[in-house]
Amino acid sequence: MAEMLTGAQILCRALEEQGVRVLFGYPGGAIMPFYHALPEYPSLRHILVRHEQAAAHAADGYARATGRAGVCVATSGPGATNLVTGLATAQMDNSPVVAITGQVARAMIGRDAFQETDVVGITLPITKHSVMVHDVQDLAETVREAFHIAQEGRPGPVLVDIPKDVQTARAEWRAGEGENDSARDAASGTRAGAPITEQALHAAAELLARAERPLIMAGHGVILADACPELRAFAERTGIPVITTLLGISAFPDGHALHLGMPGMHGEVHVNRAIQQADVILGVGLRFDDRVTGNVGGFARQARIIHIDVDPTEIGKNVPTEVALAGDAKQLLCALLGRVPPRECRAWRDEIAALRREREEQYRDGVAPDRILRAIREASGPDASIVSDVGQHQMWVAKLYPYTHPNSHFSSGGLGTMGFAVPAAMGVHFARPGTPVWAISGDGGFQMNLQEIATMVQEGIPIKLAVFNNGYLGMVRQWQQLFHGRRYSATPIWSPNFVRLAEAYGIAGWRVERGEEIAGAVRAALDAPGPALIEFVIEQEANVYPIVPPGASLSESIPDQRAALALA
Amino acid sequence: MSGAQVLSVVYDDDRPFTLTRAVGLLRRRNVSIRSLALGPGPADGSTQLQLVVQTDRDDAERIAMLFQKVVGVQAATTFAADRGVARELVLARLRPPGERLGELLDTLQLYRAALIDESAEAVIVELAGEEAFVGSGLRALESFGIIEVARSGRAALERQREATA
Ligand SMILES: Cc1ncc(C[n+]2csc(CCOP(=O)(O)OP(=O)(O)O)c2C)c(N)n1
Repeated sequence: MAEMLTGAQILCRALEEQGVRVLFGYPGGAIMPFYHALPEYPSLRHILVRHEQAAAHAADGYARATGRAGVCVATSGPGATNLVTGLATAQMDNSPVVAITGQVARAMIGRDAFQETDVVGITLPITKHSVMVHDVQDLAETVREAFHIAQEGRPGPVLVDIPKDVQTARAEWRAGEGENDSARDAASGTRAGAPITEQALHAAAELLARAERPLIMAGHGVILADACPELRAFAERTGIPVITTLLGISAFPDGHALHLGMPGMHGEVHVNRAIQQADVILGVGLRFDDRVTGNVGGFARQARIIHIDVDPTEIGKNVPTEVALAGDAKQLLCALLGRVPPRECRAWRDEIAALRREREEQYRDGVAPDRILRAIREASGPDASIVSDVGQHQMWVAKLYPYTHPNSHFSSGGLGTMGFAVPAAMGVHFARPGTPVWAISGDGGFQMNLQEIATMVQEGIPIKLAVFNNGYLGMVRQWQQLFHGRRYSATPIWSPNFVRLAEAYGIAGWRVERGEEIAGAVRAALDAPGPALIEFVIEQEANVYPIVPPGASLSESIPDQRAALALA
Repeated sequence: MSGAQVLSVVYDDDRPFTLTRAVGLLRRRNVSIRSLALGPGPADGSTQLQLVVQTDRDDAERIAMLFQKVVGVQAATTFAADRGVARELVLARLRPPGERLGELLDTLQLYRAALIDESAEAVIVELAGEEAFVGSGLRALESFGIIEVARSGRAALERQREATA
């Protein structure tokens, strides 16, 4: 006999069926039937956040770290709208998040009922898909489809809005029929791009084999496709140097002889120069976004571009492409590997090495970003996960920390969402329990979601929090200094006593004001059993270099403070 | 190569948001819609949307690809309007012609139009054809006193089928 369950129970069963272990959420009127059912399903661990935005970021962090959908839950109205920034963040960075929202009862929809918001409408342009469930009979299949859509092809967030009376209505529970994904693909209209032709692969291999100054630019897509080993094998066979974008960081090991670093607005000078001189660029899983290309008209003008991307609409969107390879990066890199001759690219690599001058000691002694990051790495080991927020520290974390494990760096790249690090780190923790997870924020971004320390305490989530305190909204201040005549409008920012804040939450806290205290504090924070906080008092007006002025081409990179002040 | 471009989208009926998404895609890209026609699609349970938009070929092709990514879309194709034929149906309510009935019928004949409804207060005529043709037909009818016009939006087919994926 088939089981009759409430919609809320069906939802729980469907989540279990998808292998969900942890949900991040916050209850409220329209989602109460779900929360009523939840204790009957102890395999679903619910983490009560302090703000729904954090639930979305935490689900996003979990998704990025596992490659599987992260789940967040909110009530209707303000609960649902609080998810919006997190969903937009996940959308821009292609993270498979499934958001479940309660909605007012069907009969009330469209009447401006209490806490009614058209969240499906609001999230249309910032999700991969969003849908309201009108009939409890459709609920289980809608949830299955939501997970499928979120994770398939180019991943992204999916929102499922469930009216309260659909949660209380009853229907038969029927378990999913296992792999029904091709039917689901057909039903949801998702499909792969045009098949890759032998011709296109051949053309790409030819271009690469004959290139004199070839480069690989690797983006987040390499990590999403689990293609890091293939990328490495390909680079090592062809001798082609590898550039990793902000979200491509850790797709290729730092310190590898072929790794050049990060391109774009804050890219190293030798990386941007190499791009400007390249004759062939193989782009893998990146969208050539404007922070990467600078003024796109002046981007890599000598280069013929081969573009691998799972989403055919990305190819040719921002830069003209000579060979389009729409498909799975792992498979395509394998296919190309068999078609290219082994090479060394010696002369070209020597040329780049000559461009690569030793990084100037840009930061003073004392509590300098590179010293902090080195200490964190030394104490935490290679399998630590580093989650950065947005701003100057984000660039330091991207550029100065040595990443050797694939997918060990997390950041809000596309949307650049301040407040991301602290909650996203909670999600990463559930993906990698037992390994160190650091959330590194500025004093500005930290104060956007610091309320989540309470979540960490309540749920025993041992995130190590590092706050780079420069007393400013640093990145904006830097722009003001360089491009707005040093008018520091609305960028000085006061902060509470972070150590006492930590104390108030009942966690360990340190304030580091001298260079020699860095290592000890980092060690102590790691040794502390639960969450711990370190405030690093860094130089107030330290800047991130190089910097390509907004709107300029990569060739116009300003290498250091001296050059910047000469221009300013 | 900027010009009028035809976009055809076939989607599942039971996905009411597909139309919103499709139109939203155009809004976000600031593409103006010159004509929109919606009707049953080729298969049961599907709807066909045809749009005429003002943009260049590359953009239209990219938009068609973006439509294909929308959940529920079965097919999306595009061609340049000048490579196809397009027709629009226009219904016009006119004042009763009175003694000018003969003149009205002549005008209708000239435009292969028909009188399809008559009452004491008004007559309704139907007129179909290319944009320019129905435009001049409407101008010819102006002197009879047009009260109200309803237009179907354009249905278009490429002369030689060579639609993009
Ligand atoms: C939610 C949000 N609001 C505003 C911005 C614009 N913004 C980008 S960087 C930045 C300054 C960040 O300051 P802080 O968190 O102290 O980090 P720092 O740059 O000093 O390392 C601001 C305001 C943003 N990216 N996100």
